[in-house]
Amino acid sequence: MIKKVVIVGGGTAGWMTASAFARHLPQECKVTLIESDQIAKVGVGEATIPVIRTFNSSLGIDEKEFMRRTNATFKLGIRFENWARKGDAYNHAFGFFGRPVEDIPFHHFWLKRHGSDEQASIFDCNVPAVASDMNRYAHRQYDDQDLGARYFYAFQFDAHLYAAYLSEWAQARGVTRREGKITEVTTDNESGFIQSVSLENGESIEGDLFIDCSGFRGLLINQTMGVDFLDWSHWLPCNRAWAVSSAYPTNRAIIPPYTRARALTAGWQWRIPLQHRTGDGNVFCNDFISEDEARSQLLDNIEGEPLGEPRLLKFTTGKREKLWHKNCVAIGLSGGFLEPLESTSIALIQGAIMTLLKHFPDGQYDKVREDAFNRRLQEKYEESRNFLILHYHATQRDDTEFWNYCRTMSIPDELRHRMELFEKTGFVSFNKADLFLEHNWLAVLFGQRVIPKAYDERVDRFSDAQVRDIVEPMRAGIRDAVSSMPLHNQTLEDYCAGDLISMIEKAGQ
Amino acid sequence: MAAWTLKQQYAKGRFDITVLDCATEGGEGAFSLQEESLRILARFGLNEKTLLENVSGTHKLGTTFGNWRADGGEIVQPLGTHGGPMESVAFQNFAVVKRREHGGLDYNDYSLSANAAQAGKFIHPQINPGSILSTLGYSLHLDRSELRALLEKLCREEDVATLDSEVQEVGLSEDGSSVARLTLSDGKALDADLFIDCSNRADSPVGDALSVPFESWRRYFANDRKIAFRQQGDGNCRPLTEVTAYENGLIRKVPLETSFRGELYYPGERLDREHAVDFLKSVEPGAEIESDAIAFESGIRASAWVGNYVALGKAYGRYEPLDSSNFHGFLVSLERFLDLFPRTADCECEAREFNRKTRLWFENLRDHNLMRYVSLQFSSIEPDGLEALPESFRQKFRLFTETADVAYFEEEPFGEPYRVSCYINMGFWPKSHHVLVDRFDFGKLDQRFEEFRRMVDAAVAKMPNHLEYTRRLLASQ
Repeated sequence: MIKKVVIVGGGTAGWMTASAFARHLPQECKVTLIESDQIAKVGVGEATIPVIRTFNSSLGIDEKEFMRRTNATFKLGIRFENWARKGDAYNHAFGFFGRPVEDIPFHHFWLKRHGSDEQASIFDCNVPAVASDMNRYAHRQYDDQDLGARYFYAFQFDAHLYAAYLSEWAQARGVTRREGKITEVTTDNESGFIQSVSLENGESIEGDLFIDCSGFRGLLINQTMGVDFLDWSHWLPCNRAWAVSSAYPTNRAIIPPYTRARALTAGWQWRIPLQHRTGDGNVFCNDFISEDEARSQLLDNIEGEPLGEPRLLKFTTGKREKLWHKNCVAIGLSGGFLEPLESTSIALIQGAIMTLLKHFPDGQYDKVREDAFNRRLQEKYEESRNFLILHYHATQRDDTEFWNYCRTMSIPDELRHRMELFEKTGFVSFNKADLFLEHNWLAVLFGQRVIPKAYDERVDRFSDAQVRDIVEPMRAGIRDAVSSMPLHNQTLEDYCAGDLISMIEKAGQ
Repeated sequence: MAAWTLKQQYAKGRFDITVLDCATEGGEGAFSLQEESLRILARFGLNEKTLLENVSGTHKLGTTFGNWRADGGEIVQPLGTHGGPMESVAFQNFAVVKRREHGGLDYNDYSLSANAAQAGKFIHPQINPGSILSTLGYSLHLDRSELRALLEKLCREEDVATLDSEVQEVGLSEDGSSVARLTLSDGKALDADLFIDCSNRADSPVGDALSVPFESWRRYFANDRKIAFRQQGDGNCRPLTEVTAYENGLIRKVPLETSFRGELYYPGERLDREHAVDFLKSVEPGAEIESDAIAFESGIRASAWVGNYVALGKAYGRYEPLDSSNFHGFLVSLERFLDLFPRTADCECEAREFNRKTRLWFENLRDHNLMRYVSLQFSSIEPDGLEALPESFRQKFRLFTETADVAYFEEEPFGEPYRVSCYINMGFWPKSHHVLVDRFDFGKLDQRFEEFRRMVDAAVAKMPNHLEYTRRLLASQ
């Protein structure tokens, strides 16, 4: 049995792992996390996707308290601007397009009624997309029977505060935190297994299982175990990001229930609204724009005053050939990096943690667990990668070299097949265990102007009037349901206000 | 079924359909369906009520595997789920711990379907997850010829043309990539935009004409002959399909209200027809032979959809129906085909998707059947000699037997709880369990298991006899 687990690195990945282990592993299993205040945290992912709620609830975390402590807001999706064409905007929101009728997906009915009519938008038939447009959010659990409750939600939070919150939570449940930089990693000469890590102060910490959450450098998985990196930058060429926090322009600012991803000339800019500030960043490829230009672009595009100097992050998109090797498991940036376009970073951390718990080594390190874990994580990363590539490749933009490259680059066969199939038939091919399901693919495909040439012919057994009576009431019903929702600001104030800007305004009144 | 479904699912007059009623393999016998089959049939317009009103049938709660394992006896393989939700960890993990603590455990003690089936009882499940009846899983046994008659009637009402003839010659397009016409034995020529093969024959002349290679699985599955039979029942059957293993093959029996329909599957190289019939009659007294010995070979075609030709079900892949997957396999293929129905003659993309998923489904089924054969007392496959078996099978088998976790593969024919119970009922108890179980208060484990067992017993005691229930149901409709 594994009795000593050592986690190297204390960012989001490290403390999420430590918390899950504190909650789920047997009490005899001692968990030690090593972090150094001298090493800056990347603070991955301020925006999340709905699976984060499963993670938090599995820990037993109180949602209100967590939101207050991390200045979190609710997230209904991502608003993509300028991606297919300059001036375009669409919401990839966490909810379905209409309802299936006699097992035929709704979008086929919409396609029959509207075809490629640019004036009509299928996004009007998606509750969270409409709510995002209106900055409204009602805090409800999904209810398929209630048109106004057919959506899922996630959070936008301060990742440093989340890590700090989980740090406190995990240490209260037995996780030992050690402060210090690792100077040496000792491995067994015969087996190659990691035996211990040594700190600057000379202390040696032994373990049975080592979790590498050391960030991009991959102190254990790469520098010690030598597991190679699969470089995917030919498909996802962005390799730099400038990040900065900014203040809301006024105390009356609207806090949108969505993350914004605005395409620029050689990448894109994020805006993640928290309760008290926004997180902003420009993700770009330095082959197409200089670091200085990208920095200026970021600062020109933020809406409020920057809160400090922008920080530059350098990265290469890709993943380790395997995340689990011998007694070392890489979780987070040490295992791989995908740009935060679809907020997959924390979801991939969560996926790795839960898969590891499922296949937790029994001390013998039989290969079957390692293989099953690596196979599953490879699928998750590849699927997320393909979904991201879709955003870049399915574009009509030809205004910069960057977009010309993305539009014309070769893409993975599986993605090409999915796009071709959808364009031809309206059928979405997806795997039920994917992070992104039919409604996610539909949102991005439609949003990127990949409009099917045909719809499911079974729709033709319905008359035109019947099709109209399926599509139009859906649009009207959603509009009505969303109109009765409170503004997102209001829900935050009522439910979980931390440093909410509207509270600041009240205090000043 | 394909003709009726196309007529029913698409706009009136969309298709002119001709059914070439050629000699298909085995029009006799009965279908034993999976739970999922009922959903697909309902989607095609044939709900349970319609089926039972028009076709002789019984409810099904599972399958028995007799004489299968070396430790003998009859193993009930129930539908539905075992146990109840405990924390967020699958039930089998707790069962592994309890079995270890107590030196043994009958997994089926915690299956309502298994216990009801053995008592010959049945009631419909409830949706409410708080009710023990939500753990019940069921399906149907249906008389095959009567289902066919119902579909023929429905097709006649929809003006489906029928030709009673055989394929004499297959005419291909100039480039040989699709079918241009079929010339029939009576000299008629049959032109069409689309040819759907429901012949149940993997050696279909159309597939051969298109040179679609056949990938044999004979090295894994030795049985290659089938003889159909019927047998009088005593009116007291159980809601269970029966599969019984013998040294030279297996017998599958499907109970209808007053009779059984069955087949003997055996290896032709070890048994000729005469000896096979003698053997069948010796182990199934009163068996009336319904068919000649039909030759088949387990395996799949390289592609199910080529040009304008689509092979569904057994016309694409052959395997022994250990878990009642033959008709279900056809239904799954048909449903998938309708989702991807070709919009134009250029349907390479749709075919690619259909072929990919169909192959995965059949390969997963092959792996499932291999698991059963590894446990078979007459099998030459030993659990520790798996190296010659497909990699996907080895991954699944080792992961479950080592960790109690079910590997995820796309397009699995059966749900996770069913696959878990198949492994365990075949004697493959995992060596370890999910680590989360170790946080559970083991003092409460016995209590939780005992409570569940009491609930099962109480529910079974209140259930009606399954045949009476079905009769009452039909009378009330």
